[in-house]
Amino acid sequence: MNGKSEKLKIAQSFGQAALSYHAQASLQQDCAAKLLALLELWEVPPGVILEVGCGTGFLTQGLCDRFPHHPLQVTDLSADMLHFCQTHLQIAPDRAPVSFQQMDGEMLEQNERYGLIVANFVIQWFKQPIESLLGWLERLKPSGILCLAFPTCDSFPEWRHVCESLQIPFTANLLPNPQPLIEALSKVSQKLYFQEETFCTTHRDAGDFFRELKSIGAAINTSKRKLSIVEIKKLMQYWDNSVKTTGKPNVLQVHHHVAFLLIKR
Amino acid sequence: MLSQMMTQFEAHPQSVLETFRTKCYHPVPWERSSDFGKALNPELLLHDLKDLGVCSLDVAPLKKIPKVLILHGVQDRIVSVEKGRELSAHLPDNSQYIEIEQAGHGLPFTHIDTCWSWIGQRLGAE
Repeated sequence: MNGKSEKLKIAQSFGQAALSYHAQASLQQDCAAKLLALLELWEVPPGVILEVGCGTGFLTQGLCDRFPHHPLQVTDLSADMLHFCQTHLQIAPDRAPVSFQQMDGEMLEQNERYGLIVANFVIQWFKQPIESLLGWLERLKPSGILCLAFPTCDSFPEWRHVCESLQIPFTANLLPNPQPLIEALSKVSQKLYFQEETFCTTHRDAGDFFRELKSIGAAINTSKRKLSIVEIKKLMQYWDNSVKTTGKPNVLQVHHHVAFLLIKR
Repeated sequence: MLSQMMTQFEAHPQSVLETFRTKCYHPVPWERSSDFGKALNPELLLHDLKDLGVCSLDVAPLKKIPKVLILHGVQDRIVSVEKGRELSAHLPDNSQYIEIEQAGHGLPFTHIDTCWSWIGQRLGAE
């Protein structure tokens, strides 16, 4: 799958899942609230706010309310997600303008300079996250802020463990490692804040976990590795059995490791 | 709690020190070495305990340092992570504030590799 068709698949997958994403993507919703809390730590300079990957608007409403004097540019790769966000957003009549644009965050087109660029659970879908983020930093005004939340490579330890035990490939998508990313961004920024947090979601069984990933549109496999049907069955059976031995049947825990980053240009 | 510690320290210095070390190392278990407490300086320790009650940090000198790196264990039981976040908001523009999960106050002892890795990153950044 080349870069363009992969992006198209991501957009389609999320677009078709907009409604269930809005209802079920609780981790993304929690992280949006945390990003908003983090933004209280630093002063956001005047200028346009760019939100990359608005999804159904978990973060957008908060940005809209918190920064009434900053023009807000809301974007998403998926036209359907963008439309959902636009139709559900409540905009105060006296706030600065809010615009909506379908856009790939890895290809910023306009020459606007931003006061704040923010992205919640977006950069893990990027082909070249470091290069893209360096590009975003260049698009910030002096003292402008980049604010990110993303799942890291330490996510899904339980899934990884099952795959290792069964000696089958771990086919979760390759997630960003925060440290090299921070190392690269440090070279061109003034100030940096990094916080990591582990979230736990619970599911009835392994099948339920994978179905939930699919229902929110996040099940697109970009890892280039695929399991056979037999391997998938083995994986789910082994995972379910390992949960049964914990004494808490029907409670499959999955841990998600999330990085929160604030960077001042 | 601090005054309680100071009172207890007068009677049982070693026991108070052990409890403090355990809290510092949390969430990593602290193991008492065979020579622990042999060179105990109660006066100095009591002085340090008193100082903890009036702890303050002037960030102005940090502005003169070219690169500042602050590492904070998320499970710190001595200086809460909330305090660290509060401090980060007042740090100058030459600073990095990094939180480390599954680490406490004693992270230079319990997470030395992680600390070095972040220090290397910070020193490497131009």
